[in-house]
Amino acid sequence: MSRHVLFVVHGMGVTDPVGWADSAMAKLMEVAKRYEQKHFPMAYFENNVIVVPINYSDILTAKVAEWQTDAAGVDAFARTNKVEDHGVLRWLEASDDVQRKFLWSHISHVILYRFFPLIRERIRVSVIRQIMEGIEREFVGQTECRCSVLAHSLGTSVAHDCLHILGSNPTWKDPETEKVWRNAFKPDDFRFSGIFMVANVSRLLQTDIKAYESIVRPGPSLDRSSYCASYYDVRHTLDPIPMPFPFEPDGWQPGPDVIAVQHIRDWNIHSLEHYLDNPGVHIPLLRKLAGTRSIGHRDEHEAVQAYSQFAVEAIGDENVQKIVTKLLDVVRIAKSSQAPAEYLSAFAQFLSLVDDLREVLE
Amino acid sequence: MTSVSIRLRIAAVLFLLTIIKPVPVPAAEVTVYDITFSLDTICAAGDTRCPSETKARYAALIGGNRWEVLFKKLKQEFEDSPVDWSNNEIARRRFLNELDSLVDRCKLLPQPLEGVATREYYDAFLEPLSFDRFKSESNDSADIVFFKGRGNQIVLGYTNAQDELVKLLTEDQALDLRLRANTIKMLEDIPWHESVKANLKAVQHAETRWANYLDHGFSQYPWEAWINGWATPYTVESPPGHQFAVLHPDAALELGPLRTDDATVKETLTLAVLGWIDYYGYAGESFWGISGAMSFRDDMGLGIGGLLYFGSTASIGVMWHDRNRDAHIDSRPFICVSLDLFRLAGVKGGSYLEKTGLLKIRRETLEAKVAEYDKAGS
Repeated sequence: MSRHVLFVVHGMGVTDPVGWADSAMAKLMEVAKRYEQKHFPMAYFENNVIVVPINYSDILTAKVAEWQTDAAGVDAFARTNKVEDHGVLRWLEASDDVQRKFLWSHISHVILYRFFPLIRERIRVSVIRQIMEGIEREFVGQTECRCSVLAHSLGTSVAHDCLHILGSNPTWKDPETEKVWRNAFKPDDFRFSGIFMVANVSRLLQTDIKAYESIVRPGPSLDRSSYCASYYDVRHTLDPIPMPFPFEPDGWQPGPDVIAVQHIRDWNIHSLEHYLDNPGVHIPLLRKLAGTRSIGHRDEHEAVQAYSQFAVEAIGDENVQKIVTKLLDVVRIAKSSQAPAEYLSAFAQFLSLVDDLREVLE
Repeated sequence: MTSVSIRLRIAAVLFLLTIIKPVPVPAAEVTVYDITFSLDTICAAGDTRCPSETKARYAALIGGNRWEVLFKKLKQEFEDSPVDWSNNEIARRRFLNELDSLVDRCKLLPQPLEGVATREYYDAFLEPLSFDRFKSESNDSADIVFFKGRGNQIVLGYTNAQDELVKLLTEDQALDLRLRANTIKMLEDIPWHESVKANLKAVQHAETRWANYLDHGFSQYPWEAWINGWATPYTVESPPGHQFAVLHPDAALELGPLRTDDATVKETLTLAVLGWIDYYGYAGESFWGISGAMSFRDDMGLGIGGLLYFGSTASIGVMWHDRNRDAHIDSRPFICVSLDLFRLAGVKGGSYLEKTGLLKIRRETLEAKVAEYDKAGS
C-alpha cells in the first residue's frame, strides 16, 4: 500500500495533549476538498495519508504546573536574566488575568525549552521516541511508504533538534545487553520526503544544535549531509514571532523553498490553521502528500490569484487597516530587537493587537 | 561488444523513441507512473513479481540470510521477464546493472549463521562501506525516478508544462520495474526493520530514564533545573546520574528536642542549602542523597543540620536550633522529617497537605520570598 506519513509537531501554548491536532487536520482536509473538483485524489488522500501528531505539551504543562505558574519561580529566573529592566514583568503583573494567563501559557513553554537544557532534552527524547514509533508502526511491513514533517512555531525548533539527533546519533544502546546498534535513521538508510517549517523559529531558538549547520536541510538522496528532499520555510509578513532571527541560511545548495504570505482570514495570524488556509502554503503540502500531479500548475496559479489578502467582509475595513499598520510596526520592532525583553515586549503588543483584531472580525 | 555496435544500438533505441510517441496523460489521473499509485491494487494473486509472493517463495533464503543467492535469483527472474523490453533496452540494462551491483555487495557480507540473524550481521548489512542501499524510487514525490542521481538513473515519466504526464516506458514495463524494484526494497528493508526495532527499544528505555529523573526524581525548582542543566553531564540517551540540590525549600515536621520530656511535633520550613542526589537502578528509578540544611520555625530561631534523602518523597535529618534567638545554636537535636511537596502533591493531592497545615506554611513562606524579590527589584 502506497502511503505517506505526516508527523505534525505543535507550537507553543498547546495544553490538550490528545486533541490538539484535530483542528489543524480538519483545516488540511477542508483545503484539500477545495480541489476535489479539479481531480485532486481525495480518496487516496483520505485513506493513505497517515497523520501522526507529535505531542510534548504534557511535559511542559506538568513542569509549569509544578513550578506554580503564576510566575513565582520563573519570575526570579527572568529577573536574573535582566528581563525586568524593560518592564515586561510589570506589564505581566499589571495586565488583566486573561491576558496574563494567555501570555504566560505561551511564553513559559518557549522559556522552558530554550533556557532549561534538562527539560529540552526530556522533550527531545520523547519526540524522537514518538517519531520512531510512528515509523516503526507505519513502515514495517510496508513496501511503499514516505514520510514528511509539518512543524509550527516552537515546534519548528523542537522538530529541527529532534530530526538532527534522529539522523546523526551514531548508535543506540540496547538497555539489556548494553551492546550498541547502528542508528537505522541515518541519511544513508532513511530520509524525509518534505519538511515544512511554519513560523520557523529554529534559528531564533537554536541552542547546541545550530539551525544552519545541522543535517536538517534538503538535498539529493546521495547527499548524506542532508535529510530531506524538500525543505519549506513558511513565513507571514505580519507575524513577528520568527522575526528577530528569520530563517535565512547562507550557502545551502539546494536552498529552502521560501513561502511568504500576508493574508488575514482570522484574528490569530500565528495559528497553524491560519497559515494552512493560504493556497501558497497548502498546495505544496498537498502535492508532497498526494503526488506532484495531484494539483496542476494551472489550478495552483488560479487558486493563488483568487485568494485575496483579506476575507471578503474585512476588505476596506478601516479598523482592520489600522491594525495591520500597527502590526507592521510590531514586526519592525521584533526584527530589530537586540534583547530578550524588547522581543517579549513586541510579542505582548502583538497579542494585544490580535485581540483587537478578534473584536473587529468577530 | 565493440564500441561501434554499442553506438548502433544506442542509435536504434533513440530512433525507436522518436517513432514511439510518448502518450501524454491528463493531470490528476493516478497511474502506475505516479509515486502514490498503490501497487497492491494491481498485484494479482499468483503474480510472482509481487512483494508478498516473492517473500513467501523465498522464505527459506530470507530466513537464512542468503542474500547473494536471493538477489541472483531475482536478477534471473527479471532477465527472463515475459514483458517486452525490446524498445527500452537502456532502461532494462540499467536495472540489471543495479542488480549486479547489489549481488556483488552481498558477497562482502559476513557469512551468516543459518536461520540466525545477529545484530552484527544486520549492522554489517546496513553499513555503507560494505553494502549500499538499493535506493530504487526517489521519495520526493516527483514522478517515478529510479536510482536518482546515479549513472543508472531510469525515469518512468515526467510532467510537462501542460501538467500532462509524458510516459517514457510502456505501462507493462513501468509496472514490471516498479513491482520488482519494490520487492527488492522490501527485502532489503528486512534487516533495516530489525535495526529500527532495536533503536526504538533503546529510545523507549532512554525516555523511561529521563522520566524517572525529571518527572519522578528528586524535585527541582527552576533555579536548580537551570543549574543542573549546566553542571551535570547528560546525553539524549542518558539523563544525569546525579543532581545538585541548591537552596531547596521543603515543608517538614520536627520532633524534639530529643531526650526531653516535652518533645513536640512542629511544622517547619527546611532549606537544603547544598545537597547531592545520586540516581541508581536499571532505569535510574531510585535515588538517595544528602544535604546541609537550615530550618525555620516560628517558635525558635534558625536551625542548622543535615538531611538524608531516600526514595521519592521523603527525607530525614537532624537539626539544632537557636532556642532563644541570640545567635547561638544551643538546642538539643530535633529529628526532622521533610516531605518533597511536588512529588507528594502528585501522589496525595492537596488535601493531605492542607490537613497538616504544611501547605499554608509553604505558601506563606514563598509569598514572603517573592515579596523580598519585589522589594529588592524596586
